[in-house]
Amino acid sequence: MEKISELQTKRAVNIIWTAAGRHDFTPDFKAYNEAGEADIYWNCIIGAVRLHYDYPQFESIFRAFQEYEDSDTYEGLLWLGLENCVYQHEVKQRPVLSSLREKYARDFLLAYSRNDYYSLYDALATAHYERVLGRERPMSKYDRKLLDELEFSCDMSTEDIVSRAKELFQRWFQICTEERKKQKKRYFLGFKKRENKGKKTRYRKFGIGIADHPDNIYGAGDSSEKRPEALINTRLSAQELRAFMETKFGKPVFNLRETMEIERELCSGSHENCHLLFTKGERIDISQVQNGFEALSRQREAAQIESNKQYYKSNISQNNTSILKLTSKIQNSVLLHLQPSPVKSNSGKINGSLVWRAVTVNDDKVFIKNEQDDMGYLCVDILLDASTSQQNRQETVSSQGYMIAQSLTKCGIPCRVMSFCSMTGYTIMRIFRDYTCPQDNGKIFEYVSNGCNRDGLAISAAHHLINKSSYEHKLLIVLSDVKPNDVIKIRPGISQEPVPYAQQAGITNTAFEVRKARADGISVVCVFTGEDEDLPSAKLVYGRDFARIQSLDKLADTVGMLIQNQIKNL
Amino acid sequence: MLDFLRSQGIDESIINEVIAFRNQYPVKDCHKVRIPVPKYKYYGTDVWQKALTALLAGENILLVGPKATGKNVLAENLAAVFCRPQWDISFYLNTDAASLIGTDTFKNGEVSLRHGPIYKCAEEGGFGVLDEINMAKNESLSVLHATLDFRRIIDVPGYERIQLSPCTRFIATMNYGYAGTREVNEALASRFMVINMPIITADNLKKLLVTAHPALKEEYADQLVELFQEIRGKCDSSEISTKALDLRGLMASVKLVSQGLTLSQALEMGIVNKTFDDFERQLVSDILTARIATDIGREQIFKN
Repeated sequence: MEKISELQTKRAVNIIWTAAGRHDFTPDFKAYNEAGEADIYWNCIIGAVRLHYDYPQFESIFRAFQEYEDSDTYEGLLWLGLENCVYQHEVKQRPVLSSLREKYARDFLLAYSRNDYYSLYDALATAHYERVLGRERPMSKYDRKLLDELEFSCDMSTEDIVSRAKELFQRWFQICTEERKKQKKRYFLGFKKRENKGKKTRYRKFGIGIADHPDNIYGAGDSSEKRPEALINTRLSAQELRAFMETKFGKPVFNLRETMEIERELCSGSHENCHLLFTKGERIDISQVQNGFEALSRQREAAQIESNKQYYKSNISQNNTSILKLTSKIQNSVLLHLQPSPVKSNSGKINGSLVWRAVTVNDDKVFIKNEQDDMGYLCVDILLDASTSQQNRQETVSSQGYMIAQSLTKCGIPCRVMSFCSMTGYTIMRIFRDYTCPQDNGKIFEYVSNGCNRDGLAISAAHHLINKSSYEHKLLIVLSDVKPNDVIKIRPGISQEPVPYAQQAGITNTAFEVRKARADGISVVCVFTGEDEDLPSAKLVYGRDFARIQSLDKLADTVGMLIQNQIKNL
Repeated sequence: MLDFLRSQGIDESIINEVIAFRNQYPVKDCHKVRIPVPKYKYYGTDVWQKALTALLAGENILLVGPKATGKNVLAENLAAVFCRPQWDISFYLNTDAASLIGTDTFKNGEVSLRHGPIYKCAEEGGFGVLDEINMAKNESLSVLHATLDFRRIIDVPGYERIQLSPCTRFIATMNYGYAGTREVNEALASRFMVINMPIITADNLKKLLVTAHPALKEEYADQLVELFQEIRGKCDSSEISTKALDLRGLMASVKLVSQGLTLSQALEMGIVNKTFDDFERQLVSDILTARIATDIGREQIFKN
């Protein structure tokens, strides 16, 4: 079966959410028509099951079916039964269902009238949909009895349906729906337990269309799914690794669903197998950290943060002057930029030298009106490299970052300060201060360096965040030594073998991501902190838009200049 | 209007004060046309009570709320309740002092002040509705500071200084976080009493629909309310933007059905097509299909 497009998946999920009246779950089972488009009627039913019944109880039955070779048949039959009772509940609130159901029934019967082969499911479903249209078709006594039992009535509670379904499948198909009982394989009428679970495809026939069976369907979960060993040398599963990262770096800003979506968008192609964690650094209490090594590194971090703050305090008067200087520098360029331009107009401030025109040539435009040029709203994002290469200058980077943020705050220019580092495949985007949170400036002192740096992914993640904001002019300042390096390899071309994310490959990728951000209207500039030998790579990645600083004390000055240039170019 | 207030459960004492206000400040004949006759009524006792009290106490109010919360409906209703002429002033990026208060112009060979809407409103004791106040830049609004606070004056350099009429009130509206809006600064915000407009409840939405279209059958009013709530659910969980959450579009759609379109055609124009992103449109269209049958028309949804 062909793959269903993302758009259709999203449609199906949304219909299910609408029908369920809530959006806080991830639907497992979704229905599509033959063309792979989301099926409105069935997805409504799938959603409404959750509205009217306690769905997890059904889940366990569906899960038990997956053990059997003919799971599709059983699944189809149970859904047929559920459709019967859910429809009766839901149609009261959603009268349109009656016409949707009739249409589906007609389509189903039409599709099956052309079909020769006839399975048990086909026979029962055909009879069921005939009944929907108010007709009774001739069928065997047994089939009729089974269908009668299967069409659950709407008076039944979840528990009634569950016990009826269990009993029914046990009696008719010898299927044990109790979970995970280690039993010998049963053979009955050719229905046998599936021997190899992995062989079934994800999209399989359902009614006249297709149903999506993701790996974790019915909550069976892929929680123990191991990450490919060759990629990452860790014994943790995907979930455990994510949990570890969240403990280490802080709670994620986005929920799992949103994160997955972002990863699908950003962690593909060159960043295949990578993951992202956006965090504001809210961490669980240190007392709850079980891992001894982790507790130790927390202590070290706390000491570093303290040292960052001390460093700033020890030069407090100089730093304050720097802030004031930077503030007035930026403010001046903003003011200069906002020069109003005078225009002749028929209202406004009178221009004495033009008055004669009104009297003699009847020209009313004897006034001057000041048209303010609007510079539009500018936002500044500062992205600090927090990889181990910055280890020896953490204090300077953090206090310079603080000073820039403080000055921008005083000028009323929204700014966001982030740092990035990479670890076992995760690129961690730590957001210290967001556009609207000037009170968080102090958090910049929590800058602590750690791990590798996958510059390309970090820039693309920053690009993603900036794009979400509504400011007209966007400036991204990257503080970096332009030495990308990460453990997850990169594939330079589609058919090429992966190479380490470092040197040429890493630089090319970073340059590519910078170009992408620029094409999107974001000005990306770099404050280069590296050595002479890396100058060519900085040129390659950022073109002319980088400023080299020999010592980090000049960071605030340099950034001030870059912002000034940006304002001039607006 | 006063009977409507009583039906909303407003204290009789407040209503009496409103009547006293009306009697104390009669309206000039030439301005009677400016007194609005509201097409829609605002439902919500709490908000009514707050707004009426604040205006009676001489304060200006700022109505803050997302789309479809009835900010402008309430503003219009208030002017109608107090029987005051209304001036509508829409704010935009380039709104400046001159466009609000007035600017020099040339008339009969003489320079004179052409009065802006704020000036007129202040002089005639009207209710000024400052629509989308946060669209304008804060600096250009600073000319209003003296007008809006206890001084209640307008002072234009080179012209006379005028005192606001005692019955002048300003009602500002804003949608916080709407694209293109700015942060309202403290100086401006402190000159208003701020009312947070609650999201319209299902009951009130139904009342609104039925009042505007008395012939609408109850079961279809229910379906439309559900449809709207479902779209709101999608917006709240950020599956779609708020473009399709369009109360005006919903009301207009019902009107279109009375003219002969089918309900789903009308809603497509009024709601679905409000979003211009193909994918989003598909999601909204799905909500519609899962709620309204395609062949429902005027015969089905209206009584007789």
